[in-house]
Amino acid sequence: MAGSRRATFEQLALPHLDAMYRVARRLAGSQAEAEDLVQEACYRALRSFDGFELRAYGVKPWLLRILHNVFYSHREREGRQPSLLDDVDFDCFSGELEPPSLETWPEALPDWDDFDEEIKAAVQDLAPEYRTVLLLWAFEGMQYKEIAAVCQCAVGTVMSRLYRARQQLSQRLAGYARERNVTQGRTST
Amino acid sequence: MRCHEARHFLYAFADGELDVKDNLEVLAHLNMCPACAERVNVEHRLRERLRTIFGQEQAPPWLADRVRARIGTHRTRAGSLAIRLGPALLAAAALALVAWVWMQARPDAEVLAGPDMLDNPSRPVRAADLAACFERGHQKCAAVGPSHHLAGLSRDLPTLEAELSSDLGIPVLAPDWREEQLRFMSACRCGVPGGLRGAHLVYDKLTHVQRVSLYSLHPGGPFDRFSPAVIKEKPYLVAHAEEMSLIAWRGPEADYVLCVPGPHGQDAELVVRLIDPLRVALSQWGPLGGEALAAATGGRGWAALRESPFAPVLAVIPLGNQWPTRRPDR
Repeated sequence: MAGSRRATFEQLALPHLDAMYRVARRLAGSQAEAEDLVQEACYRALRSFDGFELRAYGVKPWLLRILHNVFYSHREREGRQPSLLDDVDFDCFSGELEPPSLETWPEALPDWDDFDEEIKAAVQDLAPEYRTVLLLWAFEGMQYKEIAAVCQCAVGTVMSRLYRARQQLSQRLAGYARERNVTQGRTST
Repeated sequence: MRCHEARHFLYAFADGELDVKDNLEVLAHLNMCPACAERVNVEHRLRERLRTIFGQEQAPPWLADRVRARIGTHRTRAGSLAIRLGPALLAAAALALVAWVWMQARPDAEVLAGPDMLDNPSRPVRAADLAACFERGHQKCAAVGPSHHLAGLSRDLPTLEAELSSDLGIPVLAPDWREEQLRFMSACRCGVPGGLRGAHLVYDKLTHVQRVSLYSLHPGGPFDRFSPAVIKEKPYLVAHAEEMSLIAWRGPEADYVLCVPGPHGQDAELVVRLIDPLRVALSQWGPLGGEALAAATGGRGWAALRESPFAPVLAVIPLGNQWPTRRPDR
């Protein structure tokens, strides 16, 4: 019985190991820590597998939510609790939702090909809460509702975190572009 | 819809999160406004680039095995315990677990690794008990992951060695085993009940699902509790636990225990290679060092060891021209 339960769990969970590792790797400071996060998340997931119901989005958001919780509990235990950011509710800041002005974006930047290292550094410098939503949004192609399920917060909070993550990323990248003299003004209607 | 209105929705539009009505309105604006349309394109390209940079990253090939081992261990142990023990003992085990979790949760907690058997002076300590003790300590600490690393301790091995040696007042060993595909993972001031204190280093073995532990301990612990007749004769101990083998030896000022994966010397070559950098300690054993190695490598016998690629390791032990005549102790 236990063997079949574990086999079912493996069948459902292991296909998402890459996704879990990708997110863990960007959250954790090292590969070793990322591997531990994934192992611990799978272990906890199996323990609570009986209570899991296969919902519309499948098993991935559930696994990533456990991974997210494991990451935060590890940080808490180590006394390195990630700073809780100003989680503004979506309604409170919807007036700021404009993307950064296009004037700040240089012509050559949209191809991004020469900016891999800068993008990596900029993503890594984001606060963990912002990095998480950006990871789930960009790498895993998740919808806001799925991200909210993973982070256990409101959809509005996801939007606010994603907005701020993009803004900070854009500002960093625009800065890099200026350093490389890749600039050209644009206009809007 | 004008630019300043449309831009409130551009992120959500780019992410496909708008309802049909808002979506159509933004789309109509984008058809008329190249700047806003370009802005949406920029968002798409950024997301695509992020996916390209990070999204192709795959889990290391060994991770699936490690996950299987982790959840497999959980199932097997829980299952066998449930069968062997009654509910009352399970409750006791749960209490012990709670106590351990509490210990873990304490800031700067020192992990107590050993079983009660070492606290009971009336009970003779057998090699298997000792092996079980250290195996348990190893499994607990390895399962904690990087959090096992005590805050404030360096991750640079030479610095760590100096720090721990100074803290504990014994020469602590913190070897660099990267050439053996062992990555240093964490260090903590761990001990076992009964006043034994020391340092516990955990290494991550890249190619297997298990980890390697090295304890540096204050003297007066496992060796002195072990059968005095045996310890007087041999300053080392080789024992096998359920999933690990351990080789323990007494240095001039400290006791050391190396726990390696694989029961009964399964990973014999690894044991020899790991001990190699510690040959200074081994050489202090004299001929008994060679015997200990033979025992640690699963009793393969002297001939096998002498002919193995690891013979140079043994050569550092001052055996002279004579191999010990005594058979390795299993």
